Amino acid sequence: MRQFDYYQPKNFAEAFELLLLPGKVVMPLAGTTDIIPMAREERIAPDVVVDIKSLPGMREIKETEDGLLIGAAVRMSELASSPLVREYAAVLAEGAATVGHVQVRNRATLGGNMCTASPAGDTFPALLVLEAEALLRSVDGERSVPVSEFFQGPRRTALKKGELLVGVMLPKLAGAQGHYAKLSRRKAADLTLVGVAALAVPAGKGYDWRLALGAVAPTPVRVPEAEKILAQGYDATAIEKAALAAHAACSPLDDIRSSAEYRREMVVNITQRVIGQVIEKLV
Amino acid sequence: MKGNYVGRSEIRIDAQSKVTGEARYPGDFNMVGQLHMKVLFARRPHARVLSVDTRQALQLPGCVAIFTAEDVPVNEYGLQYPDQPVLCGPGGPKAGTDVVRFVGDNVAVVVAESETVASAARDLIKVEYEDLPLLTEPLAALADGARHLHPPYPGIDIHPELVFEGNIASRHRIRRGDVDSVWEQAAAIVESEYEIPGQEHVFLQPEAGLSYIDAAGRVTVVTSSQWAHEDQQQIAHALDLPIEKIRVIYPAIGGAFGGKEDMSVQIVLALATYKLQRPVKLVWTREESLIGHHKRHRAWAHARWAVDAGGQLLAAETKVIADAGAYVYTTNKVLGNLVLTVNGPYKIPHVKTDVLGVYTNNIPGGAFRGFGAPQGNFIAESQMNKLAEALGMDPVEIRLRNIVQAGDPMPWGKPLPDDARGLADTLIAVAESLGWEEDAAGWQAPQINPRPGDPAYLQRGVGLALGVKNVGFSFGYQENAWAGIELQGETEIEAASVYAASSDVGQGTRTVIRQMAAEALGLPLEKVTVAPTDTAITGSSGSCSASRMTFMIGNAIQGAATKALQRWQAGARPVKVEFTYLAPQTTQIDTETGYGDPNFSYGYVTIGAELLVDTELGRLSFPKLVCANDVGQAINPRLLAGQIEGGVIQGLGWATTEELVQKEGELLTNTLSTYLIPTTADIPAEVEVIIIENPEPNGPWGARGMGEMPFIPVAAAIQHALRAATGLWYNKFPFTLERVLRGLKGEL
Repeated sequence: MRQFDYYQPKNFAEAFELLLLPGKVVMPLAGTTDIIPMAREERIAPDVVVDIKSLPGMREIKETEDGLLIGAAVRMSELASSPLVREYAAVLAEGAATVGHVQVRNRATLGGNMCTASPAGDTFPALLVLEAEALLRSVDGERSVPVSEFFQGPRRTALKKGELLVGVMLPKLAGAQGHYAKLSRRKAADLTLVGVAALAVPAGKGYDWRLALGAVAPTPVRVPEAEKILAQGYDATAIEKAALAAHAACSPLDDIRSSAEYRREMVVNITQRVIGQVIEKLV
Repeated sequence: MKGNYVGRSEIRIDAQSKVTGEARYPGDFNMVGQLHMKVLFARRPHARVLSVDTRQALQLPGCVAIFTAEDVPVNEYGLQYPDQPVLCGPGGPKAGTDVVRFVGDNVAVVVAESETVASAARDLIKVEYEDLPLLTEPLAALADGARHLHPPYPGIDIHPELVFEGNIASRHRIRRGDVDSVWEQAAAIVESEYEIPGQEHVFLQPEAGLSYIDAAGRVTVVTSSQWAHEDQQQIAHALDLPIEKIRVIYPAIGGAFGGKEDMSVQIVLALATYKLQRPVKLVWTREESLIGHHKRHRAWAHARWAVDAGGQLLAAETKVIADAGAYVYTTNKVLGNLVLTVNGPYKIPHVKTDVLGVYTNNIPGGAFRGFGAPQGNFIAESQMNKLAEALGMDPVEIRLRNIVQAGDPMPWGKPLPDDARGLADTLIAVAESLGWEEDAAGWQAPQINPRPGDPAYLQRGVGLALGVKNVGFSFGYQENAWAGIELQGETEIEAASVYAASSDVGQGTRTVIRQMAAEALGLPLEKVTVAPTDTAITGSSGSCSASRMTFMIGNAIQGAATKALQRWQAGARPVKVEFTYLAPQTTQIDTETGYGDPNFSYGYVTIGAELLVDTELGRLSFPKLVCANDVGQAINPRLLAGQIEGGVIQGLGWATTEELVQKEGELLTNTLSTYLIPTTADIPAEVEVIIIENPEPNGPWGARGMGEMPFIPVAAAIQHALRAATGLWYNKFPFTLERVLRGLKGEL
């Protein structure tokens, strides 16, 4: 692994100055669970890393008028156990609880998971169904981007040079129920083969449904066809149709972990189970 | 029995140092002025090395030296037969040392002032290769006209099974009776094809070492493997030095499981220190470890077994081809054990067994917990479970009707050396634990019904398999172990030091040695210390493998203790004695018939599995695994239970998630994120350990070997449970999600 310089700025001005160091490859660092393995494998070669964990607000979970604000450096284990997150967005807590294993969850952060932008990231399907906003900040100020636009492709995000992901905003969704489940080859420390998040949001006399898939396409994807079917009602036939719509929406890879065919078939089964779990929470 | 110390769960000698992190493993040693080594691995599976250009690399500031084939005095090594070059490259006197035969062959080693410089210099070495045709499937390697991967070989008397005919590395046979005379009398015949996977050891501590010249001028290597004196021998051979000029020391060792039976860092470290007269350190990365050391042998088998209407076995005809990979390592002995276990511990009048080990350009096959027995066992136990089913007979019942009793000959013509009661005892213990019941008609399997709350996609099953394996080295080798004892004091013994070259690979052998010495000497434990494993102060106690160390070293300690106490009583002060225990003599087995008396002791074990199958996902889970192991006498029950649990979980990994993938000679599962061993979360809710103690007549305090036993029947027991749950016989494993699901969809 190449050596690099490590900085831990205490304010944003300092952080942005570091991020824009001329002639240097500079990378933000939070939990280190992705960046260090990648550096060791020489897939990245930063000259400078900027630890963002000490920046104001980065480790906070806060209720605001607009919703729930989660700092980018909040750890997976904190997300999974936070009463606020479990109340507002249980589906995200469930996603965070399945990341890696205990040691990883005690280090890995929500922002890191998002910025790594692995299609198999376990928080994305939940963020997609929650319709979360990614909060970005740079010397030019703040902007927010829907999470669906933040993730642009494998390892590609909407972040611009010198810009930091500082957190996500989860809108308040009174009475919503969701669930995330994933399939992997062993019970911990394994890359997700299929991840599915579903959320039912009260609308009129029924529910609006949101469904998102992880690990089975170049980016996590919503499945609007399935959502439309479920909005009409969620009996067994509808669930099956929705699962088939999910099957049609995915385009998984063949690799050493599993065949594309297996992943695609499992999208159907996991989707059905996840919807079933949400329905159980509704009644 | 419970003695003063034997049979008691004393705290490990190294418990505190390991918990606090003070225990030093080979990679933790450093010396002033040390240099750092990096290995240039071939990373291509078959090629002739035409030239190795080190000029540019040597110019890198901080690069001290680069060694290639030309620098190795005797460029060959190997535990059974020296068929592997230390460094592959041109310029040597021996034919074939210029060829790399698998991705992990070493081509050069770089020594530099820092690890960073060593890596950078390694990457500047220019190697010119001529790629050679690849042989990665044993059947292709056996085909007429296939290129021979090794030059012709004259053979050695002590390993008659090592044949070197073309690409056949070793051949093993049993011929007993005439199988063809009984097929027509059979009430049932079961014929199956099996494909048994390789396995990676994943010891937590990858290969590492530090070498230096000690005060006595010896080339000294601090490293971790399984047999210090064999390391010493092989280093001396390659460096062409007298053995007393080499010293090997083992500190704390982070696991081995057979994977450190063969050389890794030892020879190249010693070579560099010998040439440079400076300390040199080498630590393999995990990725280097994964390509650099051997694996469990993959094996393909065809088995045809017959049974009469009363459930008595009539005949077993079995052919096995195993992938020996690029070099022989211990293939001939691993497959020797396979041939002894592939017919199970059963009375079979007609046996025809053929086993071949075949050279390919894959990573070598070699020692791994069970040493050929797990592959043999899977075939034998699967056949037994299928025969039981074919007859409508209970699987416990059919085994009880066929397992050998005292005096019954095994397929090699001799009975097991003890009464082998452990076979039935472990079988019944596991069966009862799983809910089997005995009535007038015999043993009956439990009815497995869905439980309240089970989703429709969940199926339950239970299964079992028993196992047997030799303890100690076999086939005519005069098995031996050395121990030394020193007694200090005047009127009474104040302190005892025990010397034994026993490799503490994590199993706790040094703790057990201390307990056995305190027992034998009649001293309080606190007065007994165990000296480190160091060839400078100990004789050879043999390898920590073959489930042999407690048996062998215990006998050696008893011998040494008796001698020491006699001297003490005769008035000697201090007392210093040595004793070499010689185990009962064994013989080779005949190369044509398999007849012989190959082993002096065996261990007996049964595994039971309770399994759930998620039939929509193909996912298995295990509410319970149970292991009953006849250990003769537990010296330290808590350590022993730990060994059993570890063995069972390692077996679970082999059977379920550990899929080792090699393609065109490349290791595709070359990280621990693609090669999946069980995590803590994957351990079954219940792992029941049943310790059975039928004393081993020749064992110290009745102890017999046990380290490998709990691993051996795990895969077969799971296959059996999977059959109960799904109605399918999965003859190929690991039982991954996808393989299980494909089977359920009719694509076995």
